[in-house]
Amino acid sequence: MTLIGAIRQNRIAGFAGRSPFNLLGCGIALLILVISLLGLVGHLFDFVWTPQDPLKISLSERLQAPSLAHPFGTDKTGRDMLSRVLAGAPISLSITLTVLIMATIIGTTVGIVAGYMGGWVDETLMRITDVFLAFPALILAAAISATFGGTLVTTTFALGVVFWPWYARLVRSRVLSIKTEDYVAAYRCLGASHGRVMVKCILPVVLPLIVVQATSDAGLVMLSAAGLSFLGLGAQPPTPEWGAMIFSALTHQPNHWWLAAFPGLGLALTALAFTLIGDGLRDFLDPDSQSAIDS
Amino acid sequence: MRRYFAKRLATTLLMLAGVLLLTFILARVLPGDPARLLAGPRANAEQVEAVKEAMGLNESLPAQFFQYVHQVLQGDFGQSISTRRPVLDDIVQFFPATLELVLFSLLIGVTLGFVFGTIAAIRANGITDATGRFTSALGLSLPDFWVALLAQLLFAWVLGWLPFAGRLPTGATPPPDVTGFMIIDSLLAGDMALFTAALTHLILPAVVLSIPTAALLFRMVRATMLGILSKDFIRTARAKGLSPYRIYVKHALRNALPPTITLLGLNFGFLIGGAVFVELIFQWPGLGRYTAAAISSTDYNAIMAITLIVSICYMLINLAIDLAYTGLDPRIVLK
Repeated sequence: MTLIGAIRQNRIAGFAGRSPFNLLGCGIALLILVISLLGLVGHLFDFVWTPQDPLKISLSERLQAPSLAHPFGTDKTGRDMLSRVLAGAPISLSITLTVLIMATIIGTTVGIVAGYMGGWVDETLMRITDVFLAFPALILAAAISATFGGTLVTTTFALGVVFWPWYARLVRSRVLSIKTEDYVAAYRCLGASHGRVMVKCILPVVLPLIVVQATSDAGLVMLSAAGLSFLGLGAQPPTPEWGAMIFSALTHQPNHWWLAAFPGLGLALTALAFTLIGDGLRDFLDPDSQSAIDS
Repeated sequence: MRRYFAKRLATTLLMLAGVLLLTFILARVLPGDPARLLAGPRANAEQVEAVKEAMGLNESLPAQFFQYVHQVLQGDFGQSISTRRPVLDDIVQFFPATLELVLFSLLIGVTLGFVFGTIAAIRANGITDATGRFTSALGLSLPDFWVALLAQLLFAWVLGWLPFAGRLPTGATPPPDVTGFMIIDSLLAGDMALFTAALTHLILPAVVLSIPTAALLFRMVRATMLGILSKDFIRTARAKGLSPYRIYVKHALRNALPPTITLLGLNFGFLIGGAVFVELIFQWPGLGRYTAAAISSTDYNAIMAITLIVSICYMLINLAIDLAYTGLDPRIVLK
């Protein structure tokens, strides 16, 4: 069963029903997706889609504990925390998506070219990949963000740079076995160029693998992005980004727990959804693997 | 065997050169005005010019690279803007605290991962297994800085069971510095009260930091053990009537060791990342908190030195693990 086939045959419901973990993951993901789409529409048509304006300052209501009027309380300038936590969903999701798209495009290209071409091309590309893998992810991302000045854009770029080598390695190892298949040789014999073989013959086969890996990685990417924002790189206040919100909550501890608890809950639930779906997808596509291990 | 060692060492040297080149590009080539960054946000024009002169930034790029490598080999990473001391001195000073925290958390994480991973594999698909799998997914998804903050709120402020920050109570005199590890030094000094204080300060940050390690290891041990438990030699061991301890620990677990140790080496990267957050929240006076401070004050020399040193350590740890097993497992050399 291929992933694309599963989606075509509308088997998502079947996937969610396979195990309670899948169901939970899909449920949370659907919720976050709806919130994010609402955020996108709100952004495009410029209206406040959260219960209150997440940036509206109201000093008379500052640092209020959770209540009916403000279920998640208010922050140091009286902004409604529920609205801010909701507004954080589309921000985190769009950073994660951008990082993953960038990482998979670079990684897949490098992996396919290295695996298919072999020889010195392979050797050179993989040694470059190894150098990037020699850095702990967070440290390299922090160094890149710091070099370009920590903004949301540079941090997203930095994470893309950090994550692509994993895809390059994964894709390359798969390509090494695909390229010996008869249908690849047959396609070559029909007169297809190397480029055409890579795009038409090999890419479709590695694509499901990349999608599954990207889903499992999404949680990690999201946590890394939030972590960088927490360190002051990435999203800057007053942007309602979850990591940045937890950082600004630090100075208000231990008395104002809600400032940190709710943004972190958003982050944790979203990351959990991605992890569960990633695990489930792996079991679904490869039942022999018994369970998810990180490849 | 010797050829394999030589080849592995050669690749490591090549990677080391690559790592140096990449940090050089990050530190000196990519920034529009590296002298400006190196001199720090508050430097005036003259100071920036002085840095430019001192770092040889007016030279050609290859010359600059050689000078950079030369400085790095001498341990010269420049001065930290915030502490006004050579970066290397700072790193040497803050390193033991981080090592103590990381090793202690590894101990906790490895124990939890192995014990529960093995149990889950033996009782695959049961309720224990399901609970373990869910908990490990949760462990990989919780942001460490958030867990650290909540754990601090709950156990230190609300319940008052453990101290909320630092390595020792404020005002306590640290034991004479022998190993740099507070719990060992206090024992060596024979001061039990100090030892208890050091241990209680260590527990909370170490447990929080151990969560991703435990979760990752749980999955790896479980999956590897599942594969091993279906092998013929385990069936034979069962048929011989060996005790469960001999079957699971002596036969199965031993074979599950190599892949898990590789994973631990790769996990080092996560641990260092996690240490940055955990040390920041628990005000642990280590390299992680120093890194966090360097990032927030754009202390560029410090950031670059840490990036380089940590990556080199990371590379060496993985090299050591690879070489160790080639020595231990004769089958690997045959490939």
